[in-house]
Amino acid sequence: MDILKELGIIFGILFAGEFINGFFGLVLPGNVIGMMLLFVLFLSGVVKLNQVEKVSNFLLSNLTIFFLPAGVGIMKYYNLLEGKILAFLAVMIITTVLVMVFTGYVVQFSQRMVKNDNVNK
Amino acid sequence: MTMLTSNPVFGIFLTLVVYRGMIHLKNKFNYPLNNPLLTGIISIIFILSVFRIPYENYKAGGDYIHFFLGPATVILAAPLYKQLDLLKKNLLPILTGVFAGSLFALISIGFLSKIFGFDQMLTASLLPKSVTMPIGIEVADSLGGISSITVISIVVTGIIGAVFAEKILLLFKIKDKVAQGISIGTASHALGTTKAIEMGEVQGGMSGLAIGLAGFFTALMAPFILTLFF
Repeated sequence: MDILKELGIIFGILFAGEFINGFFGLVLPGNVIGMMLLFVLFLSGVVKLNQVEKVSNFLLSNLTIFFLPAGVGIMKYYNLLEGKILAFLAVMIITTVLVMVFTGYVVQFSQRMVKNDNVNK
Repeated sequence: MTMLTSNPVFGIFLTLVVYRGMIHLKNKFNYPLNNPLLTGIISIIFILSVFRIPYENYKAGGDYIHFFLGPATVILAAPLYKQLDLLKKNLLPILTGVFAGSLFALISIGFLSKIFGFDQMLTASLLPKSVTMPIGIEVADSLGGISSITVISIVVTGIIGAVFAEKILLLFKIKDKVAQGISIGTASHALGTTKAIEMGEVQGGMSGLAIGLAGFFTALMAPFILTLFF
């Protein structure tokens, strides 16, 4: 599959996602809608994994760099948090750790529940 | 100098060179805080400050790189689709986990904001900090928050996830790969997902799934949680 065709597929889906977002005024952004669309297209076999393989490998293995500019944006706005930086950081760290651990436990716990349920049947 | 840096090529070049350099640094000395995202952001801010280059000049080029987050998010469907069997088998635990995690995130952020005496506007800005940026900004706006603060909180949360997720999961004995991916994506969106992809295909796919789901649940619940605390 050539790169241009792959890019065409991905940007076509992204555009459809943006369109759906704008047209229906949804809270889900166009790129997330695009992700769902592509997933459905994979499921229905309209798009095959190997039809977007090269571009997807490139984007996914270099995902981090695309976040760098947003991170640098901190320098412009951190003064909005003046005098509250430590409290802000505390909230960030505590809640991120708590949410991660809590979510993991809920998933593992419900996996066990589902398994037990199947055994009882 | 200012004229030279106002060309978008400057921001693109700086980002590429710094990031590539930081990957090299990470490969040489591998410890958690030596994370290319974290060291990259700090280095670029440092360079801009030292040479007194306006942020807007950097942003002109940075926007081109930022743009790729759009197609990159779309393509997260690929690692998810590769885990289709696991997704089917764990559908209920996954939905329960993301829903409970998103609700817990909103409540814990609201509760801690109250304890630290943050006002309603600041709390509204922080509530969507665990979700992907476009959703988070939308949610903060609709709640009367300041979206610039939301952007900072989302980035900081993502960095915490990307840097420490593996250690946190290990410490709290979350060993199931599906659970690992779902918790990373729910707590720290696409930025944490970069770590999940590093950890493995299952974690990466599940984390990508959790980004969309958590964003959806958070957008639905955030308005109610805010009224709970204010």
